[in-house]
Amino acid sequence: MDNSVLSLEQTPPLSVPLKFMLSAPIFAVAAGVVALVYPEALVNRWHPATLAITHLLTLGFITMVMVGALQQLLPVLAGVNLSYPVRTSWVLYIGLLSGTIALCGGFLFMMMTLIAVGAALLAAAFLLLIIVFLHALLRSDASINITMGMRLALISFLITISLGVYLATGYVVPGAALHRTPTDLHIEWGLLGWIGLLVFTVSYQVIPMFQVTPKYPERMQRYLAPLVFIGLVVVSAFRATEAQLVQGSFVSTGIEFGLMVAFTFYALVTLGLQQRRRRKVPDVTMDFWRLGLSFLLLAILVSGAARAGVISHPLAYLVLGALMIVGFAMSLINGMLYKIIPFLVWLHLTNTIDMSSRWQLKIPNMKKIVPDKHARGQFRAHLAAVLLILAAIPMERLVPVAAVLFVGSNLYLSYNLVKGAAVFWRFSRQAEE
Amino acid sequence: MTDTGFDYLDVSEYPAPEPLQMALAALQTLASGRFLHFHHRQYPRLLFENLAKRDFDCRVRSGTDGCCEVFIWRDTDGDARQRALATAATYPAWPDHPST
Repeated sequence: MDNSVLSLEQTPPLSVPLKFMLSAPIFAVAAGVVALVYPEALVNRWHPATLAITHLLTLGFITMVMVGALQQLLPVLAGVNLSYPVRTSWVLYIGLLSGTIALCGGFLFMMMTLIAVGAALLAAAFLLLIIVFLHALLRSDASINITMGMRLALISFLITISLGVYLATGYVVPGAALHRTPTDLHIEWGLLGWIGLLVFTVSYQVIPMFQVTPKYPERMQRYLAPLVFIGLVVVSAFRATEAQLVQGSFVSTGIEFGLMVAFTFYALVTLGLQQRRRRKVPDVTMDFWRLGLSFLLLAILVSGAARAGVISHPLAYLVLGALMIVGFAMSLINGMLYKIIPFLVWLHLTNTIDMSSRWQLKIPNMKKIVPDKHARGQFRAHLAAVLLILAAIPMERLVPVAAVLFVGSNLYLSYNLVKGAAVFWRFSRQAEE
Repeated sequence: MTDTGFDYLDVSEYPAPEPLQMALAALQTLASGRFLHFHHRQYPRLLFENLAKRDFDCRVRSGTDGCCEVFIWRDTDGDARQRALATAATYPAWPDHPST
């Protein structure tokens, strides 16, 4: 049981997570614009624009929010403060921002120097992140369920980055070969390890807290993340050593099946807990989560069907990518932003008013920081965009419509988040006057 | 009607941060000689610093089904303190909380 008492005065300033969260939708808008300009990107996995779009979303949107949120969540969930939070956050932000722009620009225009610069900037920023976060987690006396999941997610991230840097050298160094296996492992460690394990660990804390559900089963909290991590290690070892023995491939296939079962289990338990929530009131964040988890289950079905040979179309990989990145990860993150931003604004306003002792100032209700009407409008735009993206993969003529809708949805998200953050700036000025 | 000597606040069906907001609002109107019995489904980590800043003290105890019971009184209110401690003593200790 984690009984650490949180000190608000020791949490990092709001600017630390906020700059990451407000920047993320801009990268999703950029990904939509690239799809609009290069519609063929959605029908060819290896197209330069596809690589650019994938990294704009996974680094620019997903990782950007996750890194920002972790800097705020780590002190809350793990009861530890990061060293030099403001300086560290600026170094991480500039590295992630410039590295993502350079890498994606390099992919899009096939400029090898830009790819090298982007990979180097990202590798340096992420290495700093992993060192700072792991150091903090080692000092934490919070529940092993929280710290273990976060550590495994960070180690997965390290593996993802290492494979990414290796793949980038394939573009940059003349004569270096680009192999299929490291590419697949890079994707699996990124989606299932870094994103998947972090989603598991964070949801164990935030779903009961924000959605008033029963707690996740204790054994699930303790064992699911380590089991997935071990599964990824074993699958990678088999793939890396190119174990083509019958026995080897049998074990590898079995473990891949086990990974699908683990993620199915996670999705079904979460959906079940949400169904058993205490207050059955409409909640847009929960709608985003239900949508994201449904796309995760669909992705598992598509993956299973592709492995079983039921579907062999090469577009299945693109459908899988769209389901996992836009359907699953982006939906969950988008939904959480509607809880995190109002919560942080409220938390930091409380702290500002405490410090100024102006108790008469009334902090706005959390529900008014991002009005539900706008959050729900953006949810509908996001849902329509994901469905159109999935439809556009086999029907290229739909790509421009899907891209415009995706751009619109993320501009709407950006508007909602900036308006929410503006509440903090307005009220903190009043408190200081 | 018998005066129980305390105000009871059940926040177990509210999402974060409503429990904290409700607790702080209830404490603003807490009458002299009375304490607040705060019932939450989980450990309210954000509450304790806020209590200290506003000159309140508390005891944390375990309720049924993993719920958390917090007994809160004004630092300067000796009667409320005595009553809160007597009521808190009827509940099992909450593991590892600094005030238990």
